[in-house]
Amino acid sequence: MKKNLLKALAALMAILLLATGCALAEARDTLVWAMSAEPASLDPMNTASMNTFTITYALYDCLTISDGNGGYKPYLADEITVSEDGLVYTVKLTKDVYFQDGSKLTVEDIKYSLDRTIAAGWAFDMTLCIDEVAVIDDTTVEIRLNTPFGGMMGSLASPFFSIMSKAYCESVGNDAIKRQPMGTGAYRLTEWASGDHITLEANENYFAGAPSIKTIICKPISDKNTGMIALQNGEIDTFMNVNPTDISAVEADENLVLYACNAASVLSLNMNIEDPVLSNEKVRQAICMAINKDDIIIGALEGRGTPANSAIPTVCAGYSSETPGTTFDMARAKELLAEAGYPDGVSLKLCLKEDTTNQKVATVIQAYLSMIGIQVEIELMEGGAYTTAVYANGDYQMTISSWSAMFLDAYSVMYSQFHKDCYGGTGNITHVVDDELSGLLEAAAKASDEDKVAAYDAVCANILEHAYQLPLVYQQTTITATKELKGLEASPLGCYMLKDLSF
Amino acid sequence: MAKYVLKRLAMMILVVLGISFIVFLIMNLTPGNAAQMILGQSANPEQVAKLEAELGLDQPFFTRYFNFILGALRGDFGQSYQTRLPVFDEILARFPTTLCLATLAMMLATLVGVPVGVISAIRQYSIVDNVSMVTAMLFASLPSFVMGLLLQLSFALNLKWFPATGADSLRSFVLPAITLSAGTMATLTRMTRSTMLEVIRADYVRTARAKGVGERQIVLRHCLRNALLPIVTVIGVDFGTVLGGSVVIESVFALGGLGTLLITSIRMKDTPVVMAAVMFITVTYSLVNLAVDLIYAFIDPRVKSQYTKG
Amino acid sequence: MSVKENSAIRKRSQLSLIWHRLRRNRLAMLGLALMSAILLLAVFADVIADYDTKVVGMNMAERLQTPSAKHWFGTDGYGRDVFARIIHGSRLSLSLSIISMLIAVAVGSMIGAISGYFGGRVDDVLMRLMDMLLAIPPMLMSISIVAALGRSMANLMLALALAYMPVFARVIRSSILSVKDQEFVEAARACGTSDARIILRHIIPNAVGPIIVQATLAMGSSILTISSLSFMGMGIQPPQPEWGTMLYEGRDLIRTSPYLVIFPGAAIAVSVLSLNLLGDGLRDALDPRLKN
Repeated sequence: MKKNLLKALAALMAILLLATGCALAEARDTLVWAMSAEPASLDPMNTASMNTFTITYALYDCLTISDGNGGYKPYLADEITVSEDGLVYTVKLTKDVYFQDGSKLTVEDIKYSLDRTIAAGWAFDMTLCIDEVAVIDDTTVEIRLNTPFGGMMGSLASPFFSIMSKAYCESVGNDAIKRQPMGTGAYRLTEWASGDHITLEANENYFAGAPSIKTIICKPISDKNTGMIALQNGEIDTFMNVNPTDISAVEADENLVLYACNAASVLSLNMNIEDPVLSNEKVRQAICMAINKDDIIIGALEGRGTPANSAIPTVCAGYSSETPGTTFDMARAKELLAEAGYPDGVSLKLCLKEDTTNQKVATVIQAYLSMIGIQVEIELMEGGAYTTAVYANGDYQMTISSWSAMFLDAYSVMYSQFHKDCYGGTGNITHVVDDELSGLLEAAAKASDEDKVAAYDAVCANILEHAYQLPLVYQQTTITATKELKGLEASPLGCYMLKDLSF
Repeated sequence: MAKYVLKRLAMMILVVLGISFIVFLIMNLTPGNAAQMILGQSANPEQVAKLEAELGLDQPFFTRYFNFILGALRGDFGQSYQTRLPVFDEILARFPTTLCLATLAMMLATLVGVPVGVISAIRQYSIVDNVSMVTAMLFASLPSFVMGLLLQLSFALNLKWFPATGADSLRSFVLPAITLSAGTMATLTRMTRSTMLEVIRADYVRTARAKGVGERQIVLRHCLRNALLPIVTVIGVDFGTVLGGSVVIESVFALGGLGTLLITSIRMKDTPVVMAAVMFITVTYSLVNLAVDLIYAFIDPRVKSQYTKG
Repeated sequence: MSVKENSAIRKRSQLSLIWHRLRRNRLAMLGLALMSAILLLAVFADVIADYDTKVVGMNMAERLQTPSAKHWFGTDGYGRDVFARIIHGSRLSLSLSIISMLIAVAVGSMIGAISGYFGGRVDDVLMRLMDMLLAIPPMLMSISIVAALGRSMANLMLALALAYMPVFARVIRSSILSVKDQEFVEAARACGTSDARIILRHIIPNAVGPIIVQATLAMGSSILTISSLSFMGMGIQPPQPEWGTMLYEGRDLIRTSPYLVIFPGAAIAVSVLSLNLLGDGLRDALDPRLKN
């Protein structure tokens, strides 16, 4: 009996090995795309993860698209005209575009989608200026604003403004949209194996021409060491943000190419100005002067990054390298701390969301602040507790944050972080309620492209003067891919257009 | 026998109920809010309150707990707060990966650990004995994630024998299963060796030997059979260790099993998923141990007679 | 000769017998020697390396140096001396596992003793509670508790103690069941000794052997659990030099600076190994059946 059992086992093993052998033979029209985490939902209007947006960009299209030079051009729409006062955006739709279920895209779908975006509330800072969306005739929709907004074309290109099918959404309901998305996009979702992969198949009837890669398998890999090994082993074709320490290995590997650019975010030290100690401007100024940004880059980021001179990401319109930033001056910091009434130092808590990079940055900050007599206690918090403490309750002293832009305009990072209307959970975790600063931000939002830098310089000067926030480092964002993959470029937003890729 | 099994199953339900209450309590006492987590950092309080009402989070603690239990008894674990999918489907999609990994690791540990233990016992203090004991000890002393990383670097990256990630085929389970089995393999080797040593010295073995029974017969028939009882116990107990360890291993090898689901769900405060995942693991573990107890009866006639009496 | 003296002599001779047996087990002695060495290093850590300058103080000019005469185990990404951090880390790892084991042993023994001694309903309730705890794998339990309650030294110890407590409760309960009806307990009860005193003075000392063995082995596995928790990002707060945290930090640099993983990994492996060797040896030495 034992022998039979062994034979059966051996046979089973043989079959399984054969089966695996077959599975490994793969043609090169399949791309294995690594995601940093599995999306919780594929409803682009109700999420804020760049990782998810890469997938939703493949499934849905927007009215506009980036022209690759910092501007935006119509995409789904045939033409978008702006009235002279900047208050009415007229969208024309004349070409035939079909949804993946075969139905035709209409202006009603456009109005429905924009209204859905506004109602969802996730793109709060972008929809603030929209009064209403009105259908004029079969080919025309008007977006009416209550105030001119320079970032409107960019907003329309963001995934929040994806265009959905009104009939489909109304028939399946909100919960189904999360798992069974259906749009006009270059790819459609064919399989979602929970925890393992998401499969996308090319939409052969795509209005801008069927994409070159026919199948994309998106795999969640959260561990960066594992990702790197899988990449070198050919198990995945792309991986975002490899460990900086692995970059030399990538460069030495002839099968891999690394694409890098500055990220659309700024790694910063945030302070809660409602805290008794930090409400003292001099304490904040002392902190801002006491930290050596270069050592953060060397010690925590393996040399990948540049010291930040303002709270605006380098890739966003409105950034200037001329904007004056903080200076590193240990002696002056000590004086300021003494003037503030803490000659013998003080202790503060720095709370962090669990993350290796944040932790390393915090370790350097802790070492520097201890040199001017500020004892920093690092408190690592699990995601839920962190969001509740810092965003919902505003109960913290210092934290490290990296607020990401949703489109490449300074407005996208600055308004929600510093405007009084965005107090607390909406982004202003500094808790600054200041009419002057809010006024400057409103003016900057309306500013034309030529005046943008000057307008934001005024904002940055105000922030620097009162030391509301210490911008630390402009980090790089990278994507590593097999050298066979064409059409890939690093994206500052960390959000990629899968339809542009080919082998 | 049937009566015994029924009694054990009843006890299991009690244990699972108790655990579910403890887990529910922990999930509710801790900071963090599911609605806030789903909506993200920029959500305003009204949105959060609206979603809380939608998820039923505004109801009192005990109402929520009893609703969950009543649903669970009917096989309905509710919807995940995050994905809004039925929790049961989500768990069923993830469970095979974890079970496959744990079972493979257990098989590997047994198939290597027991024979090595037997050989070590027969050749006590020989080079084979010393080498295998020290190796077993070393295996058991290395943190699993370090071992996983070393295996990935050597067998996946350098030798290209096995893939480093994924759950596509049996091949991709090889490295995680080896990593996961290391601790149990070591325990089993040591356990087998020490019980075998005890049995080898027993009088009936000496008698058998005196009667002229062949050495092979003595080892397999007389010694191993009697040493099996503690070995099977270890297998049962360590199945739990392996299930727990798979949480770590799954994240090293990027496997989408129950462990990774559990960790993300705890972090996202997705209580229904956490509850169901813990209950699944607990029930599996309890069933394995029940099976182990029943196997006793087949190995040891004395135990069998006890069951029939009780 | 009074009864007291008599038992003292018996105890001493039993201890010396165990020691004698233990000494003949070379592997166990190796474990004992290694463990003593680690304990000594932990006690004299401050003499060997200064905490503020070498363990938590940064020195970017000397970052990522390979092992040398100046830095025996090299330096990490912040220029901190790896050797100094490992020495100081032994304090954390050992004290965490020792304290959580002490809690687990104390609470577990109490529960096991009460359960075994009184039996009946009390036994049923307590043992079902322990079954519940045992039905959740220890690693899963620790991860859940720390993930849910937040990352702190106290929560970590609570998690470990809770995870290992049922094992001790069971060990004590079964030893009590085996001695409960023996003559010396009956004699004590006949003399009017209280229940608590009988448990503490007469029953528990008889179960000390198996408890020590279990605790030694559990200490080893708790060191591994702590390091795994650190790997999941739920361990000790930086910049404290816990071994698991050091591994977690060094893991990113394994290709360029493998020593950042090798040394903390070796520190964990050696401590766990020595505890396991010692535990096994003690078990053999305490087992009268293996006298020869």
